[in-house]
Amino acid sequence: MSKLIAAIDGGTSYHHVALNDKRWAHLIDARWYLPELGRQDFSQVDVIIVTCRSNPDLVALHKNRFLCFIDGGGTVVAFAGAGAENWLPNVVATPVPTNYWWWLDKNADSGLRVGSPDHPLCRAVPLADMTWHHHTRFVPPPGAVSILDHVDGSSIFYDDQVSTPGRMLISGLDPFCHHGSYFMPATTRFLDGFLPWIREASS
Amino acid sequence: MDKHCIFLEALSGLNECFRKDAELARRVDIANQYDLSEELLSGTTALILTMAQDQRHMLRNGKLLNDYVREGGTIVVQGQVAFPFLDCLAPYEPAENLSFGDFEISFDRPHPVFHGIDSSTLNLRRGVRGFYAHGSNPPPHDAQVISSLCGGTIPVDWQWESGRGRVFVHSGNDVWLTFANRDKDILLTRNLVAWAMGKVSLDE
Repeated sequence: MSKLIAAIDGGTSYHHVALNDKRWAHLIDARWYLPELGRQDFSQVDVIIVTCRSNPDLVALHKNRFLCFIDGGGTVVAFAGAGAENWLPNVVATPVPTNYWWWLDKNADSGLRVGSPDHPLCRAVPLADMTWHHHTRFVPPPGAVSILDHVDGSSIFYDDQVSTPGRMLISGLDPFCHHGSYFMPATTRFLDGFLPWIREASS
Repeated sequence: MDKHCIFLEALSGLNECFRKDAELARRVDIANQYDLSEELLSGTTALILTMAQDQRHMLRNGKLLNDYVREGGTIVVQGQVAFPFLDCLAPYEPAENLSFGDFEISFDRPHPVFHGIDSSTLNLRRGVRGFYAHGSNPPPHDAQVISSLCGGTIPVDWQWESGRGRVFVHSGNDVWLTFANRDKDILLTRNLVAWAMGKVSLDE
């Protein structure tokens, strides 16, 4: 059965454009305006997507509600710039200087690698569609599964189904921001694969 | 010295140039966007907005902002408009099917914000074009277009006047992120703040 999905809308132009794109708007059941998050009933959905660049200070105000949500079996997806390390458990994050230009280098290498080829998201979204730049690297807790690795041994995107009764997908990527800014085609391809997958995903 | 310019911050940490550059820090106060109020704007010459703004919140404050302009305030709008919160704004239109050369910026008229700036450098970083702008917030018919893409056909920067006030609209990323060279970013930002405050330069 399809999951019910809510996504955080910070009122920015890029959130508005990305969350209402007709390519996948039907896959998102609710858009929750971040300053009014206190009015929303988390128990009405299965998945909460905290979009990239959602104001981390405002999200963190609801830390206890997110914890209750995942303790009850809910799934939270946190993208870059949302400050997940401040409101979700066991998130060890290292912000890194963003290299927008790696692809211009001779023998260009993003440093990104498929973390777990058998993970269903890796089958739904190929490496090329997860490859642009990233803002944060993570050290996943033992038992979590890295979806996207960095060659330095860290993870850019991981799936933690061990720290809580629920599920946390933690990412240093920023697809909503760039798709919603009409910039960076890989982010569009990522969302083309990711949103149908998360709607149908089983643990 | 009095500060009469406010940067309406949307995300903490994206205010570096207004903290680290002494000239800008001397002139510009930083305020949280959710503290926008008549009281905040009282006595403020100029309000600088960011591409990361909560535009729904700005729209809810549309009357306050439009009145502020009519009564003599200056507002700098940056980014892609989704919620037209000023009378002069309309939703952003991405440019489509442009060639590499079409992304070069041309100036339609001289403007103090771009004093000392070579237009050919505005939308080109490491051989890549589009960081400064890749579309338009369509201006009203009575706006003055300042810069454009695609040989002058797609407005990027424009100015509009209402009552005693002014609006400067830029349809791309925040201007302090334009160049790879920080000094050039600071020059452009100082120019913008000086113009917004009605000065020739920040030294004035």
